[in-house]
Amino acid sequence: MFDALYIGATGMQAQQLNVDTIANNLANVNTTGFKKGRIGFSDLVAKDPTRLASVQANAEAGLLGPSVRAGAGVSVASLSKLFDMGELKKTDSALDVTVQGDGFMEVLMPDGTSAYTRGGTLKVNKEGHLATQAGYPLKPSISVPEGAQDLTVSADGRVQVRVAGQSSPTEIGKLDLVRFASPQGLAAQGDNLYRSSVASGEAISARAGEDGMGTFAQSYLEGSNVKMVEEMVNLMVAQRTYEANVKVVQAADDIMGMVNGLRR
Amino acid sequence: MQEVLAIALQSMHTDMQKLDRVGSNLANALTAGYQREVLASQPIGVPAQAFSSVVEGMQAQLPGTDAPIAAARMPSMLVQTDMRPGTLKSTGQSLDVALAGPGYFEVMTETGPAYTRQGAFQVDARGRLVNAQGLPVMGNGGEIVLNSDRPFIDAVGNVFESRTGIAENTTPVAQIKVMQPEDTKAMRRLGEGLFSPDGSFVAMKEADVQIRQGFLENSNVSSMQEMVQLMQTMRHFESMQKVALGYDDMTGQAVRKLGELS
Repeated sequence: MFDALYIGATGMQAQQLNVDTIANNLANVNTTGFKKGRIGFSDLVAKDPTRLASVQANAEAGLLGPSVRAGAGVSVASLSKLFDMGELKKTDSALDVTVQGDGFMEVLMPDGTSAYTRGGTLKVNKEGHLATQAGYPLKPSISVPEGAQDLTVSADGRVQVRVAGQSSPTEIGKLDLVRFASPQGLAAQGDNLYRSSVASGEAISARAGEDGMGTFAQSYLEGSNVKMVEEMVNLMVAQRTYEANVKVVQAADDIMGMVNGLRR
Repeated sequence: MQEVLAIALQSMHTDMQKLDRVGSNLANALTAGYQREVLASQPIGVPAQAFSSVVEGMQAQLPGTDAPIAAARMPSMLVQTDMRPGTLKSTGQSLDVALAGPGYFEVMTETGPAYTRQGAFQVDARGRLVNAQGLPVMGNGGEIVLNSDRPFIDAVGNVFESRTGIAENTTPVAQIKVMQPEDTKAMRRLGEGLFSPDGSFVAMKEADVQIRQGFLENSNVSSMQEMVQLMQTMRHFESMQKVALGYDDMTGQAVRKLGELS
């Protein structure tokens, strides 16, 4: 009958999750390729099919009848990643490859499924394939011959190396891009890897630089897209809202104390 | 029931309901597009002597007649929605859309259309424009299907296909439907930011539609106002409790004193 206590609790819970999201964003303010999380709230309503009727009945049933129930607090509607571009930072490593603009690179996971990444520091794994830092090969796989020098990645993804003893570079493969109908729906896997989900849709293969897709940028890393000031402001707002909800819970508790105090 | 106790009980009950509303508003202080709830009490339309029977829910009857008192109704509380638009918050996301003026977006639920001001839209796996709960957002020609998640949306809701956020074509692929209720009192909350279509919604004139892309509407809850309301409610409850206690004291004393046979 007395909802305020529980409503206040939903508010506190929601703000706690909000602070968690902000904390994760702030912790990753210097993480290469990190995409900030965003939380969305929506209001809750006590689902009561006979609500309208009961409000009418309330008129006759007096105080002991069902009371008008409208809102029942707040819930988390969405917790998604925002794929805004981070700032590109110039590095000196030829194996730092990132996507400038829209698009993801496909990575083959050990279990044979695909994951997707926005790029980062690549390496040549022990099988001689171009792979992510964690050692997962890119898909389609590009094998780098032994003793290869001067690896270059062109804007459209062609990978060339110069083999010792040859004067002109040879092409050893081509990096591909994929896109998603709804990147926000991708499931984050950590390690800057994402997996497709029901919400994101299947990967659609695309060509770099065409039809609004991004291009490859060699010797660049993408900075985190977290904005310090924005997160700080959000943190303050979240904390104050949490506080306000605590006050409601306290008030509800006080009232219940007073109700019990009616009988001395 | 004693009249004084009945009145105190009724007031305390109202205060508890008010506290529920304050709590609900404060819990949603950061919910985009939330419109705060206000509890409006209606005047009590009963003759004073019948009040306790009204609270107990009995049919109040005028002494000596069979006719119930016509106005003997429990004052039901009216939960109303504060329609004032909230301030806008810039997010820079192409699919965040806010209504700077009045109006509601239409989304399609399983049971028919519902209306919302929450503009945190997404594109689903099939390319449809959906809201945060995955319900399709309706355009003037039905569902809006896009082939990228970065459309350009102008001030009257025309959606232009685009990959970069800048309109590439001059012909819009769809126009977001913005509706307005004719009867705001009939609107019912369905949760998740949705309102039922009970308010007989009609399309808004294009000249009045003000859509802002890249913004979300803040909730129109003012925590200062809610805190004052909270204090007021608490103190009112406290004074009503004191009235009940005082009356109880008085009755107790009366019973003791009058029972004394000197």
